[in-house]
Amino acid sequence: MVRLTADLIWKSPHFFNTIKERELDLRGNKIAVIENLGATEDQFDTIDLSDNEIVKLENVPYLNRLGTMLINNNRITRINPNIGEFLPNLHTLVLTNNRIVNLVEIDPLASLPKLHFLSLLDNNITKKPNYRLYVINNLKSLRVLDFKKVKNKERLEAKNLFASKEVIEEIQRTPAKTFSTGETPNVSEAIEEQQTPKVVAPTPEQIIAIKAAIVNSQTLEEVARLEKALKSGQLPADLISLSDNIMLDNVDEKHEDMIHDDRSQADGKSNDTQEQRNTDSASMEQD
Amino acid sequence: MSEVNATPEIPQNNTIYINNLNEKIKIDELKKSLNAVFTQFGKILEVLAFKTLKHKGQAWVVFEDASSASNALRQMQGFPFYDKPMRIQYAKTKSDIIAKADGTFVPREKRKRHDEKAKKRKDQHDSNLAGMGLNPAYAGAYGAAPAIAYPGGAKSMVPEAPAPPNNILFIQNLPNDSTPMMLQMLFLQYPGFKEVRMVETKPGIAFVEYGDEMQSTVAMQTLQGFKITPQNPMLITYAKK
Repeated sequence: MVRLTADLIWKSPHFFNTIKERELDLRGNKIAVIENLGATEDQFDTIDLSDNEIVKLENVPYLNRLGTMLINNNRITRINPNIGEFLPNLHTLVLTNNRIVNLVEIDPLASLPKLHFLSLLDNNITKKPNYRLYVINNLKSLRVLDFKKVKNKERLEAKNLFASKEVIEEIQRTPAKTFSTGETPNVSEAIEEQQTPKVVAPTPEQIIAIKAAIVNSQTLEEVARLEKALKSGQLPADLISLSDNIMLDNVDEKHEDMIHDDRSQADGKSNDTQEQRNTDSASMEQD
Repeated sequence: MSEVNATPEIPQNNTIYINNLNEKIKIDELKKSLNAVFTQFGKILEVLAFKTLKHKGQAWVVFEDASSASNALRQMQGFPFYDKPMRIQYAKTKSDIIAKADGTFVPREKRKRHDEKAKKRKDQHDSNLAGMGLNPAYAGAYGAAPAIAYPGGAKSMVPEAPAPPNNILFIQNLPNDSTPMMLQMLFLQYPGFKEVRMVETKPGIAFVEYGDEMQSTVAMQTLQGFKITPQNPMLITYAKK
């Protein structure tokens, strides 16, 4: 894991790109968390964070000039609900090939006042029924979605659909509340991590749960399971499992000081942790 | 379509050539969208797109790595981009920006200029070309479509340099129902106008004669792209001597 530091920002290429915008290229640095973007001093029209390992779109300072964010090929699953306060002029957001799954997860983008251009290609969210209409209904300023123009006919259709589906919309809102609740365990775990430099290994119960989740994860099954979880309201358990999984990866990387290579299964001493990682790598390869 | 299928396999290149693009998209937005859709495959050095007749609905995207170009070609072939499936090939020649980086760039020979008077006229002509967004070097480099056939003698299919200044202008892309009187009212407002001639057998084109080359250049620059109807912006060039 590489940290996004002020040094990294100033060492990275910055240049006028092909569409004559000032661009900062942070591509391919294995960045896991967005932080320290204040070091850009609001000098860039475009920031390219493609080919990293970012999980959440957050920690963005106030960047008045920023108009384009390219975040291809990351692991974005969640977006900060207040992101619109910090990026008032963002008009282009490319989230191709990330891990956005639920329709409610793009609701925070409605807070961006000038978002005209959005790409969510190669995310599982695009397979949801009424995906396009839901996005059009929520993001009023959008003009182009997934490289197709948003037509007025579609806006009207979306408006009619979601006006008459108030109940369904309420059901879709429920996970949002659950997310708010789900944040708390994450925060407390983060605090715990701060207090203790070396994180305590997960409890046997958590290991068993993670192991079971990893063993059972297949692409189609995962989608089905997540949909089932969405309906039954079991999402917090899944969220906690995912968080634990991510933390476990980080902990392992810290302890063994190994650079995690997604494409090859690491060799080494065999133990539960190693097995989990191998399975995890295989799972990611399947994805 | 059959022409594309008949094309022999083009060798791998850092640059991909795309056609069948939606022509209604403005050039700036088209470049921005192409940049956004192809950044997932690797770093993009340049996006080239022009709005001239020869280059409508076409673009070139230059990647830093040849493997990025290969991935892009394979994964985005037929992708519905603004509701039209993209048709992607490798470019036939190396892009200037790549050639400059690896030292094989050879400046293209500029057209010869014989005397000072002709030079002034060409300068005006060149500035007009810049306004049109056409660069002859790119046309040659990227295998542009064959030149539009002129009436009269058959034309060579080699992409041609713009015609030298002439007191007679050649107008293309006119609406089919346009009349000499209509064009006369347009072109009469510039000094030196003499007459309009239209070809009965070929609707959509016309010749407009002025007193001298300076006068025809003024009219050409002012009326270039003028829309008699919204879908027919005029394309004005000097006629052949």
